[in-house]
Amino acid sequence: MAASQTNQQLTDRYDQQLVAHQAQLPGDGAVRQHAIKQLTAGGLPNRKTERWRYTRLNRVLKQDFGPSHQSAANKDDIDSLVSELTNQLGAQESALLVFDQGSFRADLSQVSDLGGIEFLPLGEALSCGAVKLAESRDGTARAFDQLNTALVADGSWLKIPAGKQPKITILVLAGAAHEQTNYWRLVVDAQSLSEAEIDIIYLGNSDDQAYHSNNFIDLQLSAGARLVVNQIQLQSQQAFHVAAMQVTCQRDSFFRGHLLALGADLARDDVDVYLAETGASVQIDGLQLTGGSQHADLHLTVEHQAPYCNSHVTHHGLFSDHGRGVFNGRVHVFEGADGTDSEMQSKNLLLSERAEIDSKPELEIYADDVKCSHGCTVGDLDHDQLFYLRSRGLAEPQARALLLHAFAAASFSEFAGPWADYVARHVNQKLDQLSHD
Amino acid sequence: MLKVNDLKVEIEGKSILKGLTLDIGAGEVHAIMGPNGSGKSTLSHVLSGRDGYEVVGRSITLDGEDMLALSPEQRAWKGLFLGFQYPVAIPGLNSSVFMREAVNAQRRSRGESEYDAMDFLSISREKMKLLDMDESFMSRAVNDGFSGGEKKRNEIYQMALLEPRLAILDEIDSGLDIDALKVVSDGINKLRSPERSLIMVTHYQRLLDYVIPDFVHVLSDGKIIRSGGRELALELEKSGYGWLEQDLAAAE
Ligand SMILES: Nc1ncnc2c1ncn2[C@@H]1O[C@H](COP(=O)(O)OP(=O)(O)O)[C@@H](O)[C@H]1O
Ligand SMILES: [Mg+2]
Repeated sequence: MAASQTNQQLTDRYDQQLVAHQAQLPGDGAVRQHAIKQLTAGGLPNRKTERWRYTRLNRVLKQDFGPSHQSAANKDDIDSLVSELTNQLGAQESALLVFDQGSFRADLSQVSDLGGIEFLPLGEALSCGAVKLAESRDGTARAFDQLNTALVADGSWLKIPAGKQPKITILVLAGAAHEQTNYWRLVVDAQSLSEAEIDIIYLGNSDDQAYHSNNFIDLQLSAGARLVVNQIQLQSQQAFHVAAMQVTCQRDSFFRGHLLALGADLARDDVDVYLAETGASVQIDGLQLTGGSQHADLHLTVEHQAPYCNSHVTHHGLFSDHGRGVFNGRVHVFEGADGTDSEMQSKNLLLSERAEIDSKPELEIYADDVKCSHGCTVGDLDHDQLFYLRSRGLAEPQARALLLHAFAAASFSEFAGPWADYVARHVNQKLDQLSHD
Repeated sequence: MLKVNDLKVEIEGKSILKGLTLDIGAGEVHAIMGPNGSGKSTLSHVLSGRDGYEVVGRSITLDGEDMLALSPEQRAWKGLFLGFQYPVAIPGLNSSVFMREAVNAQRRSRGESEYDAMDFLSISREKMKLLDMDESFMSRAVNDGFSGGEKKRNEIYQMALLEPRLAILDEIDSGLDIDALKVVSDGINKLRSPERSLIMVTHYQRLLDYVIPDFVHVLSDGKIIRSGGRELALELEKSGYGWLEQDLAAAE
């Protein structure tokens, strides 16, 4: 079996990496060892792995991704990139945390504006025991989470106290060197009655390096917490991007997420929301824009574990040229989770005959008194909308362009603040590029 | 100005308009009344160039020019405006951006200079006052989450900005309570002028108490079965459409 040998070789390689770096990796080594065992047992996803059916890894696993070591060569580039960004954003009053190839860059960050929020670089937090590495879930489908647990060295740990806290922007810069992997992890402890907003921008290098960006986000919302997370993925064109987000919502807490996937050659997002206690609610908007030979995959699961929880998920996909998208949205209502109110929509536009979307909303309901709806559309622009614009005197090409922008913009219309314009500019650029593909 | 001559329209092989003739002069206000399903919206859509309708007979001309050959946008450039019975919501498209693009597209078509954001803002404020609209409205997405009344006001506001020569208002009164109806009618009346013609499509005569028409036509089963002055609308109010339809059946 050639395929499984390759898989074996790959997992062996990761095992060796752990052995080689273990001494420098912060925190409890046993969890890392365990993660490598999980990985070795299940292997990396292949075409028989259900959750990876539509996303083949052949093209990225051919490359020999090693762990990254910071290269001093591009420090000036990063400095100018960060100052350019902060200039563009004007007087940025919110806190800014910058990570370069996975590691915290104190020199580029602004931590004086954190308000009551406690922040530690994850490496430090693990070393001093403020937080422990959480064990990964079992199974081949979670191989990249396991890899992150085994090899992650740094990231961000945030403890958000009660009350309204300042906005935080996190820049995760990757792709400084060819065929390297950047591991990064964010752990957020949103305490009871806290209120915060975190923007995460994944930004690739402007050179077209092939690199692997492996990210894991663990969000804990205590009772009554409100947390907004905007995740904007702008990796370079040759990048392999993986991000897993795990959200646990306690009683009456509210999670609001925006997930924008614009970059990378191959991008995979796994979002798992656990509505663990009564009255928790979640609202997530996802947008995928792919062109060229880009592939973006979003697997999103909402676990309704308790009664009277709400979930609203909207996915928008826009695909041109050979661009592909995968959306798997699963709502699982546990026995006894009465009063569940859940809605999931996936709306997709295909701009070329070779573009493809595999969109699958799934409902699994074990409670009686629930309100669940889901739907999926794939097609061209809405005829009524097109006629409405044309009847006002907009020529057809302009009307179409406006509707494409509107379709995408609907996914982040609730964004506010300086990043809204930045994101809108990127989306517009990408759309112009897509409509000329 | 607008001449509709023996217009016959089918949808998917089914005959909807069965020989409709209308003659609308500059500055005139015509009401077209008819029961549900009589073909009022079909007429409005065919006049403004929506596809999906098959015109199988005769003509529509504007100042002698064949309208049926023109796209919806070209008709708009000629000064035609349709106020929709059901204005569609467009999440993600900002109202103000949309209307500035629309006004500028029409100005370009006439060889006029485009408005910049500041010019447009002051013009749009002025028009919003006409309709007693809140300014926050301009920062919302087109018709997204609008109440029935807000949608209809928005249609008239768009008409005010685009300054058409001929406006067709398809059931602009439907879904409005009496206060909203007054605001919308006031807006329409302020936009009346000797150069601007209006076609008010409605099911109920109530609207015509506020916007007084010069002519009233009754549409039934795809044909105009009676035309007259304003008194025809009052007559209909009293006796209902059944009265005319019976009349017609007796004559055949
Ligand atoms: N898209 C369509 N497909 C099939 N039949 C239609 C369509 N639109 C309208 N009709 C039919 O055409 C007739 C006239 O409809 P319409 O013009 O909407 O009437 P009104 O606006 O007077 O209520 C009705 O019988 C309606 O069912
Ligand atoms: Mg109608």
